[in-house]
Amino acid sequence: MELIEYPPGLRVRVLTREERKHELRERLADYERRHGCSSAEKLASLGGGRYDESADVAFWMTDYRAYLRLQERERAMPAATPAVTA
Amino acid sequence: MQLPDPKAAGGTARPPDWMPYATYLTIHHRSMRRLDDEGILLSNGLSIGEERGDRLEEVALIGLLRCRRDVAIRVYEILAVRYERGRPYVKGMDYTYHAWFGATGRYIIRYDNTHDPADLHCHLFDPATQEETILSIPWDALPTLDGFVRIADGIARNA
Repeated sequence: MELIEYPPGLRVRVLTREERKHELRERLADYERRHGCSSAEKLASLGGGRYDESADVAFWMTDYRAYLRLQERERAMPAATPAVTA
Repeated sequence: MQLPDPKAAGGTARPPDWMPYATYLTIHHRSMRRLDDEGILLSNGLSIGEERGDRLEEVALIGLLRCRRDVAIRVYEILAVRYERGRPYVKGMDYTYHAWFGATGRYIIRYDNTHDPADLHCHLFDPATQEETILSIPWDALPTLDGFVRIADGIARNA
């Protein structure tokens, strides 16, 4: 893994893909509960010249798109499965 | 209401698309320190989140800034990662910069590309009436984060 020199005092959190997925799912579930619809439904309802989404929805959709990209990475690069030994 | 000119606001110039991740971190760190030195930034609750598999896959800059003039700023910026000669390079992909007055919750300004990664827009608010003007904007009209902080600071000064 590459060595990155972080500027002093910078807060950095390193997450595995699984940990990030868990975090995103928890936040998405909270948004969905508060807004009463699924993330996919909310994304589909936006656009088409309408940009009047609330601030909360802006953060929600950023999380949702991050979650969709993570799923794409999972499909493209599945996590290594431990070898099964007899 | 007029779209703020990110160049007139000062701050760091928006860098070219892809840059070494280490350079991004240095620019970010320096720009936050400059805001701190100038007395604009009062507290910095931002953190860098790195998603790593075998190597760096995506980066998120997320958190809350507290600034003078009672300005609060929530940041959620996501960077795509690619590798060149074994080094990670990053490029901004999703931007959510929101500023409001902490005491009243009245919005000042927002930039985000909520609907579509390619569709960036700015929400301008009249600080007194909260009347909102929404403008679809080109990418070169997007300020850097420290430019955004300066824009919000300027609006708050005149509010």
